[in-house]
Amino acid sequence: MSQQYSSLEMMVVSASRELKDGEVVFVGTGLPMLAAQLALYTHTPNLVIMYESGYIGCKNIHLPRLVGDIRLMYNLAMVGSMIDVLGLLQTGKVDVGFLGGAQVDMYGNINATVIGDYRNPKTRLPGSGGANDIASSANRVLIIMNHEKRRFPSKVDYITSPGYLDGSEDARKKKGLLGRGPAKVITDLAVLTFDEITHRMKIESIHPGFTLKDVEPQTDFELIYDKVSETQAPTEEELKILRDRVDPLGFYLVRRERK
Amino acid sequence: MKSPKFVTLEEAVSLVKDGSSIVCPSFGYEKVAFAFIRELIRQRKKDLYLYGSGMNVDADMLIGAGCVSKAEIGYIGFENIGIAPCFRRAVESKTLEVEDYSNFIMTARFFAGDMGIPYIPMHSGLGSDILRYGNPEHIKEITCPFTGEKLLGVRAIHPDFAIIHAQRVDTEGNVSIDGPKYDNIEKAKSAKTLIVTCEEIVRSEMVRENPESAILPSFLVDYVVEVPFGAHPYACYKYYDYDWEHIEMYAKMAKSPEGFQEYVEKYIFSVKNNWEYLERIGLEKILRLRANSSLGYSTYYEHLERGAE
Repeated sequence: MSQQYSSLEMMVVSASRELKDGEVVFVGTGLPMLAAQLALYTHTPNLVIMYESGYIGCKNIHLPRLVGDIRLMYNLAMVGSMIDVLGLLQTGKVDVGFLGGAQVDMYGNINATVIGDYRNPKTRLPGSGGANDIASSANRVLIIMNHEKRRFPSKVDYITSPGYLDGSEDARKKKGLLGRGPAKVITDLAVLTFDEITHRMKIESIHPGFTLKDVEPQTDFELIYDKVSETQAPTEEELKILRDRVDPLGFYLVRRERK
Repeated sequence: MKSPKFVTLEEAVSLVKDGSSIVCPSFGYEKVAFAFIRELIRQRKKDLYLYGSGMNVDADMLIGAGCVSKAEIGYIGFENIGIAPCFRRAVESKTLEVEDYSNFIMTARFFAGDMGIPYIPMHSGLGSDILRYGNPEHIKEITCPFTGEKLLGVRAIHPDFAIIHAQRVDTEGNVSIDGPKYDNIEKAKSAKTLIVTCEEIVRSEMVRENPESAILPSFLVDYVVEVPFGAHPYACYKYYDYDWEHIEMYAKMAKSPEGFQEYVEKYIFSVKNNWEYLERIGLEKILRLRANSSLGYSTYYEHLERGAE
Protein backbone atom coordinates (compact mmCIF):
# COMPACT_ATOMS: atom_id res chain seq x y z
CA MET A 1 0.00 0.00 0.00
CA SER A 2 1.17 3.52 -0.58
CA GLN A 3 1.60 5.64 2.49
CA GLN A 4 1.47 9.45 2.43
CA TYR A 5 4.48 11.18 3.96
CA SER A 6 6.13 14.59 3.76
CA SER A 7 9.60 15.30 2.38
CA LEU A 8 10.60 16.32 5.90
CA GLU A 9 9.53 12.92 7.21
CA MET A 10 11.44 11.21 4.40
CA MET A 11 14.56 13.17 5.36
CA VAL A 12 14.30 12.39 9.08
CA VAL A 13 13.60 8.70 8.46
CA SER A 14 16.51 8.24 6.05
CA ALA A 15 18.82 10.10 8.44
CA SER A 16 17.80 7.88 11.35
CA ARG A 17 18.66 4.77 9.29
CA GLU A 18 22.30 5.89 9.12
CA LEU A 19 22.72 5.23 12.83
CA LYS A 20 23.73 1.74 13.96
CA ASP A 21 22.73 -0.01 17.15
CA GLY A 22 25.16 0.43 20.03
CA GLU A 23 26.82 3.50 18.58
CA VAL A 24 27.60 6.62 20.58
CA VAL A 25 26.15 9.63 18.77
CA PHE A 26 26.80 13.28 19.55
CA VAL A 27 23.73 15.15 18.37
CA GLY A 28 23.52 18.79 17.24
CA THR A 29 20.43 20.97 17.39
CA GLY A 30 17.40 20.73 15.09
CA LEU A 31 16.47 17.79 12.89
CA PRO A 32 19.38 15.58 14.08
CA MET A 33 17.58 15.46 17.45
CA LEU A 34 14.46 14.13 15.79
CA ALA A 35 16.33 11.55 13.70
CA ALA A 36 18.33 10.24 16.67
CA GLN A 37 15.17 9.92 18.75
CA LEU A 38 13.45 7.99 15.95
CA ALA A 39 16.41 5.63 15.60
CA LEU A 40 16.30 4.92 19.34
CA TYR A 41 12.64 3.86 19.08
CA THR A 42 13.10 1.79 15.91
CA HIS A 43 16.29 -0.05 14.96
CA THR A 44 18.87 1.19 17.51
CA PRO A 45 17.50 0.57 21.02
CA ASN A 46 21.06 0.64 22.38
CA LEU A 47 22.06 3.93 20.77
CA VAL A 48 23.84 6.23 23.24
CA ILE A 49 22.61 9.77 22.55
CA MET A 50 24.77 12.65 23.79
CA TYR A 51 24.28 16.39 23.69
CA GLU A 52 26.87 19.12 24.27
CA SER A 53 24.86 20.34 27.24
CA GLY A 54 26.24 17.32 29.13
CA TYR A 55 23.44 14.81 28.68
CA ILE A 56 24.62 11.23 28.04
CA GLY A 57 22.44 8.19 27.36
CA CYS A 58 19.17 10.03 26.76
CA LYS A 59 15.93 8.04 26.91
CA ASN A 60 13.64 11.01 27.46
CA ILE A 61 9.89 10.65 27.06
CA HIS A 62 9.14 14.17 25.84
CA LEU A 63 10.76 15.72 22.78
CA PRO A 64 13.48 18.30 23.47
CA ARG A 65 13.18 21.65 21.69
CA LEU A 66 16.87 22.48 22.10
CA VAL A 67 20.04 20.59 22.98
CA GLY A 68 19.95 21.82 26.57
CA ASP A 69 16.28 21.02 27.20
CA ILE A 70 15.62 19.84 30.77
CA ARG A 71 13.24 17.24 29.28
CA LEU A 72 16.47 15.32 28.66
CA MET A 73 17.09 15.00 32.42
CA TYR A 74 14.24 12.49 32.70
CA ASN A 75 15.29 8.81 32.51
CA LEU A 76 18.89 9.86 31.79
CA ALA A 77 22.00 7.70 32.27
CA MET A 78 24.30 10.55 33.25
CA VAL A 79 24.58 14.31 33.19
CA GLY A 80 28.13 15.60 32.85
CA SER A 81 29.55 19.05 32.21
CA MET A 82 30.37 20.53 28.81
CA ILE A 83 34.05 19.80 29.44
CA ASP A 84 33.12 16.13 30.03
CA VAL A 85 31.19 15.61 26.83
CA LEU A 86 33.06 17.90 24.44
CA GLY A 87 36.33 16.47 25.77
CA LEU A 88 35.08 12.94 25.03
CA LEU A 89 34.97 13.85 21.33
CA GLN A 90 38.75 14.21 21.37
CA THR A 91 39.29 10.72 22.82
CA GLY A 92 37.86 8.97 19.75
CA LYS A 93 35.08 7.35 21.77
CA VAL A 94 32.27 9.16 19.93
CA ASP A 95 31.28 7.13 16.85
CA VAL A 96 29.05 9.65 15.11
CA GLY A 97 28.55 13.40 15.05
CA PHE A 98 25.17 14.45 13.72
CA LEU A 99 24.79 18.03 12.42
CA GLY A 100 22.65 20.50 10.55
CA GLY A 101 23.85 23.84 9.15
CA ALA A 102 23.06 26.62 6.71
CA GLN A 103 25.36 25.61 3.85
CA VAL A 104 27.39 22.55 2.87
CA ASP A 105 29.85 22.49 -0.02
CA MET A 106 31.14 19.80 -2.39
CA TYR A 107 33.76 18.69 0.16
CA GLY A 108 31.34 18.57 3.09
CA ASN A 109 32.52 21.77 4.77
CA ILE A 110 29.66 23.32 6.75
CA ASN A 111 28.85 26.99 7.22
CA ALA A 112 26.70 28.17 10.13
CA THR A 113 28.32 31.57 10.68
CA VAL A 114 27.74 34.09 7.83
CA ILE A 115 26.28 34.37 4.36
CA GLY A 116 28.60 36.60 2.32
CA ASP A 117 31.93 38.04 3.41
CA TYR A 118 32.82 37.35 7.05
CA ARG A 119 33.96 40.94 7.62
CA ASN A 120 30.97 42.40 5.83
CA PRO A 121 28.21 39.80 6.01
CA LYS A 122 24.98 39.79 4.08
CA THR A 123 23.39 37.61 6.74
CA ARG A 124 24.86 36.96 10.15
CA LEU A 125 23.97 33.44 11.40
CA PRO A 126 24.35 32.09 14.96
CA GLY A 127 27.86 30.59 14.60
CA SER A 128 29.45 27.28 15.49
CA GLY A 129 28.08 26.32 18.86
CA GLY A 130 29.43 22.80 19.33
CA ALA A 131 29.32 22.03 15.59
CA ASN A 132 32.99 22.75 14.86
CA ASP A 133 34.01 20.55 17.80
CA ILE A 134 31.76 17.70 16.65
CA ALA A 135 32.85 17.94 12.98
CA SER A 136 36.53 18.17 13.96
CA SER A 137 36.69 15.18 16.26
CA ALA A 138 33.74 12.73 16.00
CA ASN A 139 34.81 9.53 14.20
CA ARG A 140 32.29 10.06 11.39
CA VAL A 141 29.88 12.87 10.68
CA LEU A 142 26.33 12.86 9.34
CA ILE A 143 24.83 16.07 7.97
CA ILE A 144 21.13 16.73 7.52
CA MET A 145 20.04 19.71 5.45
CA ASN A 146 17.30 20.88 3.09
CA HIS A 147 18.37 20.49 -0.52
CA GLU A 148 18.36 24.00 -1.99
CA LYS A 149 20.81 25.59 -4.41
CA ARG A 150 21.76 28.39 -1.98
CA ARG A 151 22.52 25.77 0.69
CA PHE A 152 24.71 23.68 -1.65
CA PRO A 153 27.38 26.08 -3.02
CA SER A 154 30.62 24.76 -4.52
CA LYS A 155 32.48 26.57 -1.74
CA VAL A 156 30.94 27.72 1.54
CA ASP A 157 31.27 31.39 2.50
CA TYR A 158 32.87 30.45 5.83
CA ILE A 159 34.08 27.07 7.08
CA THR A 160 32.46 26.83 10.50
CA SER A 161 32.86 23.04 10.67
CA PRO A 162 35.55 21.28 8.63
CA GLY A 163 34.65 18.61 6.10
CA TYR A 164 37.36 17.47 3.70
CA LEU A 165 38.55 21.11 3.41
CA ASP A 166 39.98 21.50 -0.14
CA GLY A 167 39.49 17.79 -0.86
CA SER A 168 43.22 17.08 -1.21
CA GLU A 169 44.74 13.86 0.08
CA ASP A 170 44.92 13.73 3.90
CA ALA A 171 43.81 17.39 4.12
CA ARG A 172 42.15 16.77 7.50
CA LYS A 173 45.07 14.83 8.93
CA LYS A 174 47.57 17.45 7.79
CA LYS A 175 45.63 20.15 9.64
CA GLY A 176 45.64 18.06 12.82
CA LEU A 177 41.97 17.03 12.76
CA LEU A 178 41.11 13.78 14.55
CA GLY A 179 37.85 12.56 13.00
CA ARG A 180 37.52 10.93 9.59
CA GLY A 181 35.13 13.62 8.34
CA PRO A 182 31.64 13.64 6.83
CA ALA A 183 30.22 10.27 5.81
CA LYS A 184 26.76 11.21 4.53
CA VAL A 185 24.59 14.21 3.73
CA ILE A 186 20.89 13.47 4.06
CA THR A 187 18.52 15.92 2.37
CA ASP A 188 14.83 16.09 1.52
CA LEU A 189 15.72 14.88 -2.00
CA ALA A 190 18.57 12.40 -1.64
CA VAL A 191 21.20 10.61 0.40
CA LEU A 192 24.69 11.73 -0.57
CA THR A 193 28.10 10.38 0.31
CA PHE A 194 31.70 11.32 -0.51
CA ASP A 195 34.09 9.77 -3.02
CA GLU A 196 36.89 7.96 -1.18
CA ILE A 197 39.65 9.43 -3.34
CA THR A 198 38.49 12.87 -4.46
CA HIS A 199 36.31 13.50 -1.36
CA ARG A 200 33.69 15.05 -3.61
CA MET A 201 30.02 14.78 -2.80
CA LYS A 202 28.41 11.88 -4.60
CA ILE A 203 24.80 10.73 -4.93
CA GLU A 204 24.04 7.44 -3.21
CA SER A 205 20.26 7.32 -3.53
CA ILE A 206 17.41 9.61 -4.53
CA HIS A 207 14.15 9.64 -2.58
CA PRO A 208 11.03 8.15 -4.22
CA GLY A 209 9.25 10.57 -6.53
CA PHE A 210 12.42 12.50 -7.40
CA THR A 211 15.07 12.09 -10.12
CA LEU A 212 18.45 13.54 -11.02
CA LYS A 213 16.52 16.31 -12.77
CA ASP A 214 15.23 17.45 -9.37
CA VAL A 215 18.51 17.07 -7.47
CA GLU A 216 20.95 18.67 -9.91
CA PRO A 217 19.27 22.10 -10.24
CA GLN A 218 19.19 22.35 -6.43
CA THR A 219 22.96 21.84 -6.20
CA ASP A 220 25.39 24.61 -7.16
CA PHE A 221 28.18 22.21 -8.12
CA GLU A 222 28.49 19.08 -10.19
CA LEU A 223 27.39 16.05 -8.23
CA ILE A 224 29.15 12.83 -9.12
CA TYR A 225 27.45 9.42 -9.18
CA ASP A 226 27.88 5.98 -10.62
CA LYS A 227 24.94 3.84 -9.64
CA VAL A 228 22.04 5.79 -8.19
CA SER A 229 19.44 3.80 -6.33
CA GLU A 230 16.06 4.79 -4.93
CA THR A 231 15.91 5.45 -1.19
CA GLN A 232 13.55 3.08 0.57
CA ALA A 233 10.36 4.98 1.39
CA PRO A 234 9.47 5.38 5.09
CA THR A 235 7.69 2.32 6.42
CA GLU A 236 4.32 2.53 8.12
CA GLU A 237 6.02 1.67 11.39
CA GLU A 238 8.65 4.41 11.04
CA LEU A 239 5.99 7.01 10.27
CA LYS A 240 3.76 5.90 13.11
CA ILE A 241 6.57 6.09 15.65
CA LEU A 242 7.80 9.42 14.29
CA ARG A 243 4.37 11.04 14.42
CA ASP A 244 2.85 9.45 17.50
CA ARG A 245 5.82 8.90 19.77
CA VAL A 246 8.73 11.12 18.73
CA ASP A 247 6.93 14.34 17.84
CA PRO A 248 3.26 14.01 18.83
CA LEU A 249 2.87 17.80 19.14
CA GLY A 250 4.23 18.35 15.63
CA PHE A 251 6.84 20.73 17.04
CA TYR A 252 9.23 19.91 14.19
CA LEU A 253 7.03 17.99 11.76
CA VAL A 254 4.11 20.40 11.52
CA ARG A 255 5.80 23.76 12.14
CA ARG A 256 8.69 23.23 9.74
CA GLU A 257 6.37 21.87 7.09
CA ARG A 258 4.35 25.05 7.01
CA LYS A 259 7.23 27.16 5.71
CA MET B 1 37.64 33.36 55.41
CA LYS B 2 36.00 35.61 52.88
CA SER B 3 32.24 35.36 52.83
CA PRO B 4 29.75 36.76 50.34
CA LYS B 5 27.53 39.79 50.77
CA PHE B 6 23.80 39.29 50.43
CA VAL B 7 22.48 42.19 48.36
CA THR B 8 19.49 43.28 46.28
CA LEU B 9 19.38 42.80 42.53
CA GLU B 10 19.65 46.55 41.97
CA GLU B 11 22.72 46.76 44.21
CA ALA B 12 24.43 43.82 42.51
CA VAL B 13 23.82 45.22 39.03
CA SER B 14 25.09 48.65 40.04
CA LEU B 15 28.52 47.04 40.68
CA VAL B 16 28.87 46.41 36.95
CA LYS B 17 30.30 49.63 35.55
CA ASP B 18 30.09 50.60 31.87
CA GLY B 19 32.92 48.98 29.94
CA SER B 20 33.15 45.90 32.22
CA SER B 21 33.62 42.43 30.80
CA ILE B 22 30.96 39.91 31.81
CA VAL B 23 30.01 36.28 31.38
CA CYS B 24 26.47 35.20 32.13
CA PRO B 25 26.19 31.46 31.43
CA SER B 26 23.39 30.95 29.01
CA PHE B 27 23.16 27.36 27.91
CA GLY B 28 20.04 25.30 27.48
CA TYR B 29 17.46 27.98 28.28
CA GLU B 30 18.01 26.95 31.90
CA LYS B 31 19.52 28.42 35.10
CA VAL B 32 20.37 31.77 33.51
CA ALA B 33 20.44 34.93 35.62
CA PHE B 34 17.83 36.53 33.38
CA ALA B 35 16.50 38.97 35.99
CA PHE B 36 20.06 40.26 36.27
CA ILE B 37 20.19 40.71 32.47
CA ARG B 38 16.94 42.68 32.55
CA GLU B 39 18.30 44.88 35.35
CA LEU B 40 21.50 45.52 33.34
CA ILE B 41 19.24 46.78 30.55
CA ARG B 42 17.07 48.76 32.98
CA GLN B 43 20.18 50.49 34.36
CA ARG B 44 21.19 51.21 30.74
CA LYS B 45 24.71 49.76 30.91
CA LYS B 46 26.97 50.63 28.01
CA ASP B 47 30.01 49.25 26.28
CA LEU B 48 29.98 45.85 27.99
CA TYR B 49 32.39 43.19 26.73
CA LEU B 50 30.41 39.97 26.55
CA TYR B 51 32.03 36.54 26.86
CA GLY B 52 30.10 33.32 26.35
CA SER B 53 29.88 29.90 24.76
CA GLY B 54 26.35 29.05 23.54
CA MET B 55 24.07 32.05 24.11
CA ASN B 56 20.46 32.69 23.24
CA VAL B 57 17.68 35.18 24.01
CA ASP B 58 19.50 36.81 26.93
CA ALA B 59 22.52 37.83 24.82
CA ASP B 60 20.24 38.98 22.01
CA MET B 61 18.34 41.23 24.41
CA LEU B 62 21.50 42.77 25.90
CA ILE B 63 22.81 43.45 22.39
CA GLY B 64 19.48 44.83 21.17
CA ALA B 65 19.36 47.21 24.13
CA GLY B 66 22.75 48.61 23.11
CA CYS B 67 24.58 47.39 26.24
CA VAL B 68 27.30 45.43 24.42
CA SER B 69 30.02 46.71 22.08
CA LYS B 70 32.24 43.63 21.80
CA ALA B 71 31.63 39.89 22.17
CA GLU B 72 33.65 36.69 22.08
CA ILE B 73 31.22 33.87 21.45
CA GLY B 74 30.61 30.25 20.56
CA TYR B 75 27.07 30.88 19.36
CA ILE B 76 24.25 33.41 19.59
CA GLY B 77 21.00 32.07 18.21
CA PHE B 78 17.63 30.60 19.13
CA GLU B 79 18.26 27.00 17.98
CA ASN B 80 14.98 25.72 16.52
CA ILE B 81 13.44 29.19 16.36
CA GLY B 82 16.32 30.48 14.23
CA ILE B 83 18.54 33.53 13.99
CA ALA B 84 18.93 35.94 16.94
CA PRO B 85 17.54 39.11 15.33
CA CYS B 86 19.22 41.86 17.40
CA PHE B 87 22.58 40.07 17.22
CA ARG B 88 22.16 39.78 13.46
CA ARG B 89 21.33 43.48 13.03
CA ALA B 90 24.18 44.58 15.30
CA VAL B 91 26.79 42.55 13.40
CA GLU B 92 25.46 43.49 9.97
CA SER B 93 25.39 47.21 10.88
CA LYS B 94 28.82 46.88 12.55
CA THR B 95 27.67 48.23 15.91
CA LEU B 96 28.89 45.00 17.51
CA GLU B 97 32.37 43.57 17.08
CA VAL B 98 32.50 39.77 17.32
CA GLU B 99 35.18 37.13 17.66
CA ASP B 100 33.82 33.74 16.63
CA TYR B 101 34.96 30.57 18.35
CA SER B 102 33.27 27.23 19.07
CA ASN B 103 31.51 26.30 22.29
CA PHE B 104 34.32 23.93 23.26
CA ILE B 105 36.97 26.57 22.53
CA MET B 106 35.16 29.06 24.77
CA THR B 107 34.52 26.48 27.49
CA ALA B 108 38.20 25.49 27.39
CA ARG B 109 39.22 29.15 27.67
CA PHE B 110 37.10 29.55 30.80
CA PHE B 111 38.55 26.26 32.08
CA ALA B 112 42.08 27.61 31.58
CA GLY B 113 41.05 30.74 33.49
CA ASP B 114 39.50 28.62 36.22
CA MET B 115 42.67 26.50 36.60
CA GLY B 116 45.03 29.47 36.71
CA ILE B 117 46.92 28.49 33.56
CA PRO B 118 47.51 30.80 30.57
CA TYR B 119 46.10 28.56 27.83
CA ILE B 120 44.90 25.06 26.95
CA PRO B 121 45.78 22.95 23.89
CA MET B 122 42.94 21.25 22.02
CA HIS B 123 41.91 19.69 18.71
CA SER B 124 38.97 21.94 17.73
CA GLY B 125 39.14 24.84 15.28
CA LEU B 126 42.01 23.49 13.16
CA GLY B 127 41.61 23.87 9.40
CA SER B 128 38.47 25.98 9.82
CA ASP B 129 37.73 29.68 9.38
CA ILE B 130 37.42 29.96 13.15
CA LEU B 131 41.22 29.73 13.20
CA ARG B 132 41.63 31.81 10.04
CA TYR B 133 39.60 34.78 11.31
CA GLY B 134 40.16 34.27 15.06
CA ASN B 135 42.15 36.82 17.04
CA PRO B 136 45.77 35.52 17.20
CA GLU B 137 45.96 37.00 20.69
CA HIS B 138 43.28 34.49 21.72
CA ILE B 139 43.75 31.36 19.60
CA LYS B 140 46.68 30.13 17.58
CA GLU B 141 48.05 26.97 16.07
CA ILE B 142 50.75 25.42 18.24
CA THR B 143 52.95 22.34 18.18
CA CYS B 144 52.88 19.90 21.09
CA PRO B 145 56.29 19.98 22.82
CA PHE B 146 56.00 16.25 23.58
CA THR B 147 54.48 14.64 20.48
CA GLY B 148 55.03 17.28 17.80
CA GLU B 149 51.36 17.17 16.76
CA LYS B 150 49.45 20.23 15.58
CA LEU B 151 47.08 21.67 18.17
CA LEU B 152 45.04 24.78 18.80
CA GLY B 153 46.22 26.81 21.78
CA VAL B 154 43.34 28.75 23.34
CA ARG B 155 43.94 31.54 25.80
CA ALA B 156 42.48 31.81 29.30
CA ILE B 157 39.66 34.28 29.98
CA HIS B 158 39.25 36.26 33.20
CA PRO B 159 36.03 38.30 32.94
CA ASP B 160 35.47 41.15 35.39
CA PHE B 161 32.15 39.57 36.39
CA ALA B 162 30.50 36.17 36.16
CA ILE B 163 26.82 36.06 36.97
CA ILE B 164 25.27 32.64 37.45
CA HIS B 165 21.84 31.45 38.57
CA ALA B 166 21.37 28.56 41.01
CA GLN B 167 18.42 26.85 42.63
CA ARG B 168 19.79 27.68 46.08
CA VAL B 169 22.55 29.35 48.04
CA ASP B 170 22.86 28.67 51.76
CA THR B 171 23.21 31.31 54.45
CA GLU B 172 27.00 30.83 54.40
CA GLY B 173 27.09 31.44 50.64
CA ASN B 174 27.67 27.88 49.37
CA VAL B 175 26.04 27.39 45.97
CA SER B 176 23.94 24.27 45.28
CA ILE B 177 22.17 23.26 42.08
CA ASP B 178 19.97 20.58 40.51
CA GLY B 179 20.43 19.38 36.94
CA PRO B 180 23.12 20.17 34.38
CA LYS B 181 26.23 22.18 35.21
CA TYR B 182 27.02 23.07 31.55
CA ASP B 183 30.20 25.20 31.76
CA ASN B 184 28.83 27.37 34.55
CA ILE B 185 31.46 26.32 37.11
CA GLU B 186 34.37 27.10 34.77
CA LYS B 187 32.83 30.47 33.95
CA ALA B 188 32.15 31.28 37.61
CA LYS B 189 35.68 30.39 38.74
CA SER B 190 37.42 32.24 35.89
CA ALA B 191 35.92 35.62 36.83
CA LYS B 192 37.38 38.32 39.05
CA THR B 193 34.03 38.91 40.78
CA LEU B 194 31.31 36.26 41.10
CA ILE B 195 27.66 37.18 41.56
CA VAL B 196 25.14 34.39 42.18
CA THR B 197 21.40 34.87 41.82
CA CYS B 198 19.22 32.11 43.24
CA GLU B 199 15.66 30.90 43.63
CA GLU B 200 16.02 30.69 47.39
CA ILE B 201 18.42 31.17 50.26
CA VAL B 202 18.36 28.05 52.42
CA ARG B 203 19.66 26.93 55.79
CA SER B 204 23.24 25.71 55.60
CA GLU B 205 22.33 22.23 56.90
CA MET B 206 20.42 21.59 53.67
CA VAL B 207 23.52 22.02 51.50
CA ARG B 208 25.68 20.15 54.00
CA GLU B 209 23.32 17.16 53.82
CA ASN B 210 23.82 17.02 50.01
CA PRO B 211 27.34 18.29 49.38
CA GLU B 212 27.39 16.55 45.96
CA SER B 213 24.90 19.16 44.72
CA ALA B 214 27.17 22.02 45.75
CA ILE B 215 29.12 23.52 42.84
CA LEU B 216 30.92 26.46 44.47
CA PRO B 217 32.11 27.02 48.04
CA SER B 218 31.21 30.27 49.77
CA PHE B 219 34.72 31.74 49.67
CA LEU B 220 34.55 31.94 45.86
CA VAL B 221 31.27 33.86 45.92
CA ASP B 222 31.30 37.65 46.21
CA TYR B 223 27.61 38.57 46.08
CA VAL B 224 24.36 36.64 46.47
CA VAL B 225 20.94 37.82 45.33
CA GLU B 226 17.67 36.00 45.98
CA VAL B 227 15.41 36.29 42.90
CA PRO B 228 12.51 33.82 42.71
CA PHE B 229 11.65 32.96 39.08
CA GLY B 230 14.86 34.82 38.25
CA ALA B 231 15.56 32.70 35.15
CA HIS B 232 12.21 33.37 33.45
CA PRO B 233 11.55 33.08 30.47
CA TYR B 234 14.08 30.26 30.80
CA ALA B 235 13.73 27.21 32.99
CA CYS B 236 15.08 26.30 36.39
CA TYR B 237 15.18 22.51 36.70
CA LYS B 238 12.79 21.09 39.32
CA TYR B 239 11.40 24.61 39.93
CA TYR B 240 9.84 25.76 36.65
CA ASP B 241 9.96 25.22 32.90
CA TYR B 242 10.89 27.59 30.11
CA ASP B 243 8.14 29.90 28.84
CA TRP B 244 8.25 28.88 25.20
CA GLU B 245 5.37 31.14 24.22
CA HIS B 246 7.16 34.14 25.71
CA ILE B 247 10.42 33.20 23.95
CA GLU B 248 8.59 32.85 20.62
CA MET B 249 6.85 36.16 21.22
CA TYR B 250 10.21 37.82 21.88
CA ALA B 251 11.70 36.22 18.73
CA LYS B 252 8.82 37.57 16.68
CA MET B 253 8.85 41.08 18.18
CA ALA B 254 12.65 41.44 18.01
CA LYS B 255 12.56 40.91 14.23
CA SER B 256 12.09 44.66 13.87
CA PRO B 257 13.86 47.37 15.93
CA GLU B 258 10.43 48.86 16.71
CA GLY B 259 9.09 45.52 17.93
CA PHE B 260 12.18 45.08 20.10
CA GLN B 261 11.67 48.55 21.62
CA GLU B 262 8.06 47.67 22.33
CA TYR B 263 9.18 44.47 24.08
CA VAL B 264 11.80 46.09 26.33
CA GLU B 265 9.44 48.96 27.12
CA LYS B 266 6.71 46.58 28.22
CA TYR B 267 8.78 43.98 30.07
CA ILE B 268 11.79 45.96 31.32
CA PHE B 269 11.57 49.76 31.34
CA SER B 270 7.95 50.12 32.42
CA VAL B 271 8.34 47.68 35.33
CA LYS B 272 10.22 48.61 38.50
CA ASN B 273 11.68 45.24 39.36
CA ASN B 274 11.37 41.48 38.88
CA TRP B 275 8.16 41.31 40.94
CA GLU B 276 6.40 43.73 38.60
CA TYR B 277 7.86 41.81 35.66
CA LEU B 278 6.33 38.59 36.99
CA GLU B 279 2.99 40.37 37.38
CA ARG B 280 3.20 41.20 33.66
CA ILE B 281 3.78 37.52 32.90
CA GLY B 282 0.72 36.72 34.98
CA LEU B 283 -0.17 34.33 37.75
CA GLU B 284 -1.72 31.70 35.48
CA LYS B 285 1.38 31.37 33.30
CA ILE B 286 3.68 31.28 36.32
CA LEU B 287 1.66 28.47 37.87
CA ARG B 288 1.42 26.54 34.61
CA LEU B 289 5.21 26.63 34.26
CA ARG B 290 5.78 25.13 37.72
CA ALA B 291 7.73 21.88 37.45
CA ASN B 292 5.85 18.63 37.79
CA SER B 293 7.68 17.01 40.68
CA SER B 294 7.85 13.58 38.99
CA LEU B 295 9.48 15.05 35.85
CA GLY B 296 11.39 18.16 36.92
CA TYR B 297 9.68 20.22 34.20
CA SER B 298 6.13 21.34 33.43
CA THR B 299 3.58 19.20 31.57
CA TYR B 300 1.92 22.36 30.21
CA TYR B 301 3.34 21.87 26.70
CA GLU B 302 2.40 18.21 26.46
CA HIS B 303 -1.26 19.19 26.71
CA LEU B 304 -1.23 21.51 23.73
CA GLU B 305 -2.84 20.39 20.48
CA ARG B 306 -0.70 19.08 17.64
CA GLY B 307 0.76 22.04 15.76
CA ALA B 308 -1.12 24.46 18.00
CA GLU B 309 1.73 26.81 18.86
